[in-house]
Amino acid sequence: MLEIGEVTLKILIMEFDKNKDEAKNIQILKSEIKKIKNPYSKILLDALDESNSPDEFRVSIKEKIHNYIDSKSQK
Amino acid sequence: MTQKYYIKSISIEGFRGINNQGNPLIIDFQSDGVTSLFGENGKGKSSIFEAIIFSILGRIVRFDNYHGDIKDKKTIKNIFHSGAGNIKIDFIDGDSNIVKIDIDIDSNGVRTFNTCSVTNPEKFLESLSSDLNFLDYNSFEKIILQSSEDTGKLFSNLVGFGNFIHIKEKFDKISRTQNINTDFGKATKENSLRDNNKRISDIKLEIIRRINEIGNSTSNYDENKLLNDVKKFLKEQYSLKPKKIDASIDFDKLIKLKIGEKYEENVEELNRQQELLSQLLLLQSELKKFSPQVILTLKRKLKTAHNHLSSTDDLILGKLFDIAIQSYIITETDKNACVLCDTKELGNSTNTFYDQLTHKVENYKKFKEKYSLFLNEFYQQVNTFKVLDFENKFLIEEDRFFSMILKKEGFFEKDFFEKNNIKETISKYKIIISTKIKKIKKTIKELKTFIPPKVSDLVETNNVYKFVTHSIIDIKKLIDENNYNTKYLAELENWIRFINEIKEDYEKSYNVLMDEIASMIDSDTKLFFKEIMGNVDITPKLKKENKGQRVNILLEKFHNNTTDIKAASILSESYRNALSLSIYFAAALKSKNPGNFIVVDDITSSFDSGHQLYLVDLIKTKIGLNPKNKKGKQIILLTHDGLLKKVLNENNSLKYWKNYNLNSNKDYVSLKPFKSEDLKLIIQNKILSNEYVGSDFRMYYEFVLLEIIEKLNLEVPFTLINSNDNKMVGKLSSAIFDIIELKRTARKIQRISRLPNKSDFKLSTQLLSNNLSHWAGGREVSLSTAVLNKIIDDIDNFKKFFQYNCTCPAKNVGWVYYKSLSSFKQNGCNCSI
Repeated sequence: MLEIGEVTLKILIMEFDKNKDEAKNIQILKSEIKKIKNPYSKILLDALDESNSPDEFRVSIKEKIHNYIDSKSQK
Repeated sequence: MTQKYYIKSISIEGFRGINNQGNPLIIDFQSDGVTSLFGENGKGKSSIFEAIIFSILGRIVRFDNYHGDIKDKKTIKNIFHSGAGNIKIDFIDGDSNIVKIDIDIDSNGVRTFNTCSVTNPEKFLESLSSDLNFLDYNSFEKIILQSSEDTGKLFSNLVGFGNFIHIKEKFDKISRTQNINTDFGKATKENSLRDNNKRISDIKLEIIRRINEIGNSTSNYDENKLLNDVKKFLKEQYSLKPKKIDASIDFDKLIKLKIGEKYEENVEELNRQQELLSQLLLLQSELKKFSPQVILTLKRKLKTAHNHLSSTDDLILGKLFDIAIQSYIITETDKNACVLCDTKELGNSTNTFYDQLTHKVENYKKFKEKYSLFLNEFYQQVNTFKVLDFENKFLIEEDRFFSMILKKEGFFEKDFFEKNNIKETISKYKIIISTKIKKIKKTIKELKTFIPPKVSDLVETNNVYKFVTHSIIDIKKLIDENNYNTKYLAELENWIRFINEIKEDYEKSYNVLMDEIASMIDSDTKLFFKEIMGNVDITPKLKKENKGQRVNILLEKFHNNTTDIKAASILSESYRNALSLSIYFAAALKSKNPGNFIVVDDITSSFDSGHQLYLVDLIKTKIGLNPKNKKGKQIILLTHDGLLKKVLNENNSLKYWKNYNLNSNKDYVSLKPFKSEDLKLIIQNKILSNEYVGSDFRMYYEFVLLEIIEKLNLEVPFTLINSNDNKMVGKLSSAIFDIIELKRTARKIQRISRLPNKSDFKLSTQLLSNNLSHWAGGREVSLSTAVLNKIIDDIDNFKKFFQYNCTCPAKNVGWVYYKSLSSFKQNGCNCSI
């Protein structure tokens, strides 16, 4: 386990399976990210679902992460 | 588990080379095996290939790389066909459910869906497959000739892990340091922290200096003590007891009230001059830090940005197309047409217009990224050194160099620092400040002569405490800003560590997966390559690099050489093609695409006859679906190679293989199962119309012999059937004779007398060889129609040794082959033979 500030990040090894199809493996990735109990995992999953291209993903992450950090930093 | 789909059938009318007005070409595919379609050039083979692709992907893939001046989408619909073109394609899944897709093609080559059995046919087709389910000569030869990076990407796509690359690209995009800086202002916030701390320290020093100037000796900044001193001063001088020391205390008003009107004018002027002096002293110390080294760094950053552009046109084009290209749908749009004005036929023979444009936009983006770093740095330095403050306060508008250049629209040119001597401008500013300081000091001295020392001291002390009060407020604001930035950066650091951990872990796991896939593909590639090329002394090797997705295509053995060498550089064309096909098939077999089919067009023509047959055998045994190869794919194989005709015809007898022969005229394309009778008909027509028949006789005789072998299930070695040389007729008839003799000796033949004996064989082969030798050598001999027809009769007479005339009422099918050597009569036949 890796302690980062207030959040804890589980060091994980995603076990992708060559015999599973891509959709299944992407589910593995998402459920592994979901297992990490910190606010970033939800933001990351939402952005992955919402965006098609890397550029769209970047815009989405920029907005979501900035809003989250900004609200925490105002306190 | 995701359902797998196979192509069940297709109906084509009015598409590409297939007109078939009112009479569509209908093909039933072997959905659990291989379907081969043989068609000589111009028989509609590629139109079928493209009809399958077009119905699934909605485009003609090979058009993607066509130059605009050779591409015409109006040719997608058959130009002779009236009304819309139509393709009906049926898919069948593993549970025998059928999905029916019905597509119209308009005269502009646009696909529209009619009533289909799925709600969203477009989405269904999109989910089914990718470009990689289709392979033709142009696409497979690229496999070996592309970069190792692209080979890695291709592998991921081939095995159906293309989205994994997209996720990796997404993670890369957001974790790139430069992007984090831009998106979250990381560097700006870090710089702001550093600058604010510096500013706080400078203000504190200035407070100490000014406090010392009024005789309150101190060497430390103590906020509480300072606030108490201010309170004490306010109480003593103005009998004021404020609860809180803040910006509401008007020191100017208080002093004005205290000293009265007599000295008001001079005091005000003294205040103004002292304020000015204080500002100038601060600016002087800041400007000293705007060193030549700082200017050199800025100059270097600007140059780095401009190095991404080859000309000013790149800047204009890149800027113009940066937004336009985002809405440019590559698959739907002409790659050689302008996205803004729709001008066609741009681009050149090596690169499409879109490729050129993308390159320019990519360079422009790189420029913009680096330029933004430069500009941030430039602004930051100008702000830190308070150059703009100086200009606004002490220079007239036309002399404000920095204010002017920052107001200017557009980008700084590459030679900005060469054209504008910043160092000289700063020196000029320093001289102006120094002159002004001297002048102000002189004015202050003169003003003091008009004011009594007691009043002048009070004014000075009042100014110092005013400065202290305002500075403490400034320091608090800076500290608040720093606190926010510190928290923001700490939290941002958490995010960066989080996303880097995820990315690193994802890459590690992805690498493990890709290593496994590459090694699986590697072993199959080795096997398939050996099968296509025979037992050659060459062994390919796919080597994935430890990091990243690069996959190198190497040869681990090349005859005596056992050091890894790059395959593309050393292999001849046919070997390169064999390796490309081996890699493609090895990877395609691992594909998890729901569309469990591969459609291949013209992949055999770069090989000689032997290797073509090996390739077909590989498809039959290891690539195509069959009862012994359940992990295989449904294969649709289109070929024009005449040498494959007979083996494809042979394979037609297999339960998991369907073979069609394509026939066509200007208006119709049709299918016919391939029989020797068809060839006989073609030859007879040629004889009637006095056309050259060439080696058709030999081929006909060969077909008859092959048909005898097939129909009577004669145990002739497979390699003999598959081989091809000019002595095939002789070899096949010898093989048939040998089998008959063997079975005669072993008494395994029913009614020996009906089968040809040694003399029959000798007579037939001698007679035919005599005539056929003319054609085998390619020499045209003038023979009469009667003689030519006699040759056909001789061949048919030989065929009749293996047939009987069925006239029984139960079947009554006329001349038919014996069922086998040991049992002549066909099932259900009541003839007495």
